[in-house]
Amino acid sequence: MIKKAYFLFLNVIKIDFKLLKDYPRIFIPLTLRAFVSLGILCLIYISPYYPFKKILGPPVIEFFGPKFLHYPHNFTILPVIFINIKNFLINPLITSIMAAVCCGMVYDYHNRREPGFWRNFNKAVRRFLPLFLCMFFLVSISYLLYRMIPSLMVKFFGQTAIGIFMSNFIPFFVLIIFESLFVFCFIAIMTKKQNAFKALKKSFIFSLKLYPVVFLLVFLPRLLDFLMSFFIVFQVKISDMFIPDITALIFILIILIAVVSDTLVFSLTANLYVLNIDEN
Amino acid sequence: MRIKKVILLSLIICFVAAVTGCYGGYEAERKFWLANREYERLLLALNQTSNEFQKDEIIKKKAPEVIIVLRQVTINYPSLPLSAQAMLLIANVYVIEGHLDKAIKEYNCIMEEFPYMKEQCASAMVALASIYKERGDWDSAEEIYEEVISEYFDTRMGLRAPILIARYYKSRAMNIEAGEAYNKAMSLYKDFIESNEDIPYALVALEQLVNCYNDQEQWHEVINYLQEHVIKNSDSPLALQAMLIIGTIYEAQFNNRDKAFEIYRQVVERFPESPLVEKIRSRLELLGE
Repeated sequence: MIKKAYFLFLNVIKIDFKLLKDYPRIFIPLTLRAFVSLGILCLIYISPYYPFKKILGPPVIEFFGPKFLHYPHNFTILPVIFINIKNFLINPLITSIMAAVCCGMVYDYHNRREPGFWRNFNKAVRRFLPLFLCMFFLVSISYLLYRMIPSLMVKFFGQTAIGIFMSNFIPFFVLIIFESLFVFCFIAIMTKKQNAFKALKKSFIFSLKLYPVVFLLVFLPRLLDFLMSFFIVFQVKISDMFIPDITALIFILIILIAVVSDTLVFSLTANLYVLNIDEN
Repeated sequence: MRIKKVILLSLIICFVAAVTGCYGGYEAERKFWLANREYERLLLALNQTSNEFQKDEIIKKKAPEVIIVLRQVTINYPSLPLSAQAMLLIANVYVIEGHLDKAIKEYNCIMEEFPYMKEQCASAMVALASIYKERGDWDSAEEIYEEVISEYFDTRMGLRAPILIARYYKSRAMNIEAGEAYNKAMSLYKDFIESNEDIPYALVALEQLVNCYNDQEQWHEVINYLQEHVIKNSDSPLALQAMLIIGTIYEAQFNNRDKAFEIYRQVVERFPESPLVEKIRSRLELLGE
């Protein structure tokens, strides 16, 4: 059983790396998402500058207060604004489609078709509602977990080095467990025209069958995101060491790393799904 | 064709942003903040060493760099109020370096170029007076202090001027002059507090008034004054501050912890929402009160 899982894991990784090497265009969907994210980050960054302040300033004043339009306080709210926009705007509206496109391109490859962006993009846009609902479900639950677990960890371990590590690692671990269960909903929607509920259910059942392999395929690329999350944890200290503007650079790095990690998660899991659905 | 238009439009937007925005107030704030951080690092480095030789080395190495970054603010944004602040810091660095003439020139510059910036002008004048005082020219120093009192008394630095005069006389053991100066200072502070009870600077005036009593060790007098004139039945931040001062006097000067804690409890009951009270409350809880 373990041996079979081990070979399946290695096989999926081998196929995926060959696929990404032969068709680097599979990175395109999540690279486009990165461009949108960078654009939004840029808007947040320039919000205190004069011509943009007129339009972008009032919401900042309304939600956070006038001092957050001034240097360096604007950098203390940049992570909060960007993470919320990413969770509740970019992920449901854009990542949902781009993840589906990425999965669709992998599916094309296994069906001996040229992995095409536009064909899959049109298909994903037509199936936007179930994709949106699935992503919204994933984001909402992840958000709740991320809000609840760190405070529990700090209560349990205190403000020690272990406490800080655990308050990041445990939520990350729980989120990986959760994501592994529902990560196949995008490929399920792209391959079979299913509604959100059925796709989530199918993903859950499929994932449970091969759970250790699925978990590892999600866990390994997500380690990159986990490492990047420490930049956010120590953002204040890093800003003090260098300059507050470095916060924007940290987020640029996070966005770029997310292109790699997300593409790997979606392509690896799509490969596993296609190979095993075909086998079944 | 459409792509070309989009690119052209983007370039125009970037150009407008660069011309109007990036050279505006925010960029000035940014440059000033970074320069101010260098200034604070210089002060920190000087405070962390007691060795005179090391202090000289730090000053020789870092002070010119700090002046350069601060000067960039005054050159790039000469009309912005932050420039006055940067000039004040430059003058302070000159004082640290021992270039007092350059510092005097800089302080005068602030008063000439930014007469409407009362806080900075008051700071410049008080600093100027302390240079004259150090040089032994007390008459000029006192003249400047008097000017600060008449022109800029409603500023943080301006409120310090009367007590600085009194403390000068006290340090020289000129008791009669010191007594007169303290009385004058206290009367100025009392008038200011009575007529400006609701403005934040009243707290500064109260602090300086308590310092006057403190310098003369008149503990009972300060308690009576605060109880009769400031606390009364008022719920203002000034009354809260006054109660805390009385509690501290009972605790630190009279060694009467019971009375002090009784006052702290009254503070907690009377001002439950104030952020200042949070510390008092946790201290009372810690001691099981």
